[in-house]
Amino acid sequence: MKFFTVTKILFFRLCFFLFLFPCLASAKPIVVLDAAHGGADSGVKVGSEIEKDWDLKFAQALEKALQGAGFEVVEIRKRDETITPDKRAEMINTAQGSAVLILHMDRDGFGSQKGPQLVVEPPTQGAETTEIPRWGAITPFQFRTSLKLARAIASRLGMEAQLSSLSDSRGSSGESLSPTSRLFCLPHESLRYLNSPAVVLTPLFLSSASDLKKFSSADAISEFATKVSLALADFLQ
Amino acid sequence: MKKNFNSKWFVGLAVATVLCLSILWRHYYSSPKVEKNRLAVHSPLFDPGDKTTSVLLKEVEMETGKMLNITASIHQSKVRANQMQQTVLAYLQGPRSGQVQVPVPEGTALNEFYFTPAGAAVVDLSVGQVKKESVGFYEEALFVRGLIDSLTGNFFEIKQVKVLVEGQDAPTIFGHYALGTSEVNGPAPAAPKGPDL
Repeated sequence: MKFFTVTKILFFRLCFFLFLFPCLASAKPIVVLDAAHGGADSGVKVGSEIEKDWDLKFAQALEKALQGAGFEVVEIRKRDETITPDKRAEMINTAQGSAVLILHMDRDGFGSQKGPQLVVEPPTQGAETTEIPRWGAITPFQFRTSLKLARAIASRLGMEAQLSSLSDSRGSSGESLSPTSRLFCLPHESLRYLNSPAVVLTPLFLSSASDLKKFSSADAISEFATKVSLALADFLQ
Repeated sequence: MKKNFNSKWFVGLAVATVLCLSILWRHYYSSPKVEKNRLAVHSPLFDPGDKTTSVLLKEVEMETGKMLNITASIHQSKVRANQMQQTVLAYLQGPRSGQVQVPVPEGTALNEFYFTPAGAAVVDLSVGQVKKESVGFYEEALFVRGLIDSLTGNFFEIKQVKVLVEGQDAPTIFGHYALGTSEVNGPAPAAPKGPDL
């Protein structure tokens, strides 16, 4: 009887080391990539430059770079298709990623702005007072984690790490602000219902001739993607 | 006994009638006060003899892209809500050429403005004439922040700015900047608690 008990224990231990432990050891951090817009929703347009195409181009380059750096990548939009904002949020939240990158290009009617630009969602007022946060609320912890992710990316891309003075007071309280910073704490429709650390990354402004020139080659996009993948490695360390 | 019961019944009926009348009076004579506040901004925004006063509007310096405070003139109308509406109109119809311009997408117009007794300035915008693909997140953020700052910076009574699009609650105006969660004015909340990351 005793022999069988000991054998059983040994068997389960063996199972653990042979199957479970290697699985845990090889678990890769998940990064969710979302190329914004798509299908009927073209995003912003400047001449012949269309946002949805650039979003996809950068997402594909980032997927390659992140997989090369050892991350598991979940891509929300892989081709030119329409996905509703609710469906996107559901797909992103279901993936349970360690980090979420939403890719948007931007345009500026004044022509003075250039990329890159980062946006994090401010914390929801009162979210820290409830034990179970209500649906869609951004807790202070989630805000701070997203800000940490944004700062890791800003550092690798050579951007200012301070928040922009245009930021929302809920997130910028206690922070030193800079009028020239391109890191914003503002409510963004793409970040609203996400429950993982998430940032909106804008590599370029379609209205900036120098940005378009800078990313005219695939090599430049892939170099940018490599820097972002290094930033994610810094963040998840 | 029967007489007693009748008199009690009569008193009860009288009390109930008085209560009903007072409820009806409150309903018909008190509610229009709120309505008057809302309607006040529909009347002429100022009298011809009203003096002018200056307000600060948020505008963008073209060279640097920085937000600046620019002085504009409005009339000192007797109703404060009318001054607020004049400020919103001055912001929406601000300069679109020159060194300093308003960050307002062309075609944006004001449908309605009202100020509630609770301190909320409700700005109902019409954006049917604006091409959505011509407005990105940055411009949309400048526009909304500029509108909020132009109102809250000049009128201390405004505790909250609520933006409606075509009379409806909308998630965004042009598709990026999320409305509904950010248009609150007031003292900045304490720094979020949490581990030092």
